[in-house]
Amino acid sequence: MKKLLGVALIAACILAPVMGGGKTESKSAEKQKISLWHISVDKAMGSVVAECVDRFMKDNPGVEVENVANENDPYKTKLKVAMGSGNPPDVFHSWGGGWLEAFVKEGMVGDITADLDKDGWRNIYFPAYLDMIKFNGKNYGVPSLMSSVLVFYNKDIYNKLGLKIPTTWSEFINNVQTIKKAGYIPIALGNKSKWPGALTFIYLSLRIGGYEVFQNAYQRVPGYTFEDPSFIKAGKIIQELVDMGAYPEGVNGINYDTGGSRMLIYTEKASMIIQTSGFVASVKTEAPDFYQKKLGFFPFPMVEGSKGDPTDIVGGVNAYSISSKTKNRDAAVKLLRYISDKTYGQMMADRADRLAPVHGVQLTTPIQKEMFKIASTAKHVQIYYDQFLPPELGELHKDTTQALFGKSMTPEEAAKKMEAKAKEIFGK
Amino acid sequence: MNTSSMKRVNKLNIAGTVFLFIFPAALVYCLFNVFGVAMTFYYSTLKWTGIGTSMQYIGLLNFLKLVKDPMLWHSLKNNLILVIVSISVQLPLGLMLALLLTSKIKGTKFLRTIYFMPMLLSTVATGILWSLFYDPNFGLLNFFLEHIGLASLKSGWLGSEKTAMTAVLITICWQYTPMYMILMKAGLTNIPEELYESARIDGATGNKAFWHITLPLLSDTIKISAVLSLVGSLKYFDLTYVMTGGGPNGATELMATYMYKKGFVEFNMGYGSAIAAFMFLVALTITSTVQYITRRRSF
Repeated sequence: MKKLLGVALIAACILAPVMGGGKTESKSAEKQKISLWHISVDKAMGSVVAECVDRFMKDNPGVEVENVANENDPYKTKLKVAMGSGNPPDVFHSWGGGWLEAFVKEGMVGDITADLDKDGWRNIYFPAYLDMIKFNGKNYGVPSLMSSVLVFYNKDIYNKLGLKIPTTWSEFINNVQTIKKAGYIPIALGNKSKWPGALTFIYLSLRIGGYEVFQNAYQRVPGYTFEDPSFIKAGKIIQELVDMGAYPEGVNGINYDTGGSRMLIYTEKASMIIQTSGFVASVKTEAPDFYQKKLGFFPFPMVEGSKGDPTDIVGGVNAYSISSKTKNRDAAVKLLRYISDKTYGQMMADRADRLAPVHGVQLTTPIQKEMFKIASTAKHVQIYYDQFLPPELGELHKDTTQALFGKSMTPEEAAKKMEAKAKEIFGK
Repeated sequence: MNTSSMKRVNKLNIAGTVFLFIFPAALVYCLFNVFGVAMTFYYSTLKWTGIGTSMQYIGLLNFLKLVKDPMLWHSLKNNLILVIVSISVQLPLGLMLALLLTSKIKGTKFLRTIYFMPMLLSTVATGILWSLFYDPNFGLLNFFLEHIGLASLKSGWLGSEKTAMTAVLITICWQYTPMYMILMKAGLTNIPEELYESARIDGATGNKAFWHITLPLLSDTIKISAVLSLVGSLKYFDLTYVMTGGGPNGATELMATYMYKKGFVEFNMGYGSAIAAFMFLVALTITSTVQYITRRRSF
């Protein structure tokens, strides 16, 4: 008898939470729940997303949004695991390109072409950026931010050393040498996660070879390869910079995400950093004083005697997509608009100096206006290779570039590896 | 009822009770370990991104690719270095600390707490702590070197291919030595004091007592520690992932971090599973060989 009672008690203990769970579920069924995963972890951008979500919930009282902010690099894994285990978020962030396309190919991303066609929704965005999230003529997301890579510098150090803003590569190198002599680290770089250093590589090959070389190498156009001299020259220039002592000691171990290289800028040990425009938002919250008094930037200088258009920029897009598995598709699609529309774009500009590719945003500060000018006059926007290429090739690009910075690979070897992998993946 | 049938009933009862107690643990073990291992082998025969449901059976193609992959052998080599370093550094160091703690010097309680600290920190915290310690610009290590006049030795510890592996190995040893210290200490307290007393009468003290009494009687503990260390090192992941992510340029890549990279970063779950299966086979082979070789020594 006692035994039976014991068993019954244990069974009750095990079953209770299950049954309880069932009860609460039926209660909240009246309210639709959707989840939003994004990477706006810093205070300024995070608050914008949070308030836009609140605005959405106010207008749609029947929907509750679970707002989840993620750190940049871990996010990539987290989303993949969620997708693979069949439990993806309803609305999620991506950078368009080959990474998102991998999910599209598996049928995990919702096609929103028809939704965009309704009420002229499509027309609120800059078409070039909307197209970055388009595959096979179908839209798989909306652009929420555009970013461009710029050279940020410390105005104080530049003034003190009497330096001018460089427009050509040789002027840039002269500045690097002067800064080095004065005892500063010329260029801060945190290359542990590999993409920060890759930005410089992409810019150099864009300037040297021009926009078409990479595009054609990717499209496997005959006569174009990843062993193009422009890629090799870009690698050589990077290693020249390394030899010159342009970078801090141990770049490949410094983590940008946790602030390693930004700290060098804030403490004025280093004078320049080549980073995406997201850097501005970080400076604004992490070092407001520095932001107000010392932060300046200029476009990546042109390389003399090369084919690249000097207005071209390396950049990218932040995008939001919906999962094809979402149970509340209507609500998810509606939310997309709230986190990419004009109101959102205005808030991003005002609070974080981030530009959204949406029409009608009023720019107020000189930083915003200057960034907008650079972004809007660019003839081409080269998306970061690692986000543009299929993941396996993108990773190899980052690995080989990191090895270039560590001088454990020659530019020729790096290019050869890229071409071999491209052949393996594309089959030609 | 005669006695033999009573015995049988008793035995049945005992078997039932044993089953009842083992069942929950066995269920969990089967669900999360045995089933997982089996699925890993199944996945390793697929071409699968790990995202969607489109899977293509490709037989042993992943394994054929695997044996030709230089990065795999490189990471296996790193794993073997980790095995050797773990066993040859952590175990002796743990034993030394344990001997220190069981000796009759003052303050052993305080020391025991201090020595055990690294084990109490979470791995990620340990990794970040040591990354800051090694930081080339703001780190304690370079700061220290500069102030004792060894500025020429300053380096970007985790960022350089030459030093990254050593730097991570030191951290791993720092974290795991306390565990072996505790195991060894437990082993030491099991050795009866009388043995030492009679040895003393025979004139065996100090070093002699250690080599002829302590060490032989500790052999079981040492063997268990070695096997734990061996298996742990072969499937190690945590600190390398936190501190270097397997980089720079694969300098600290282990089989587990490489598997993670292939499976989760490059969307190649089939290939990642093949690496995992390979890891399983390597660990199984090495561990059972070691167990077999040392089996006679066990008492």
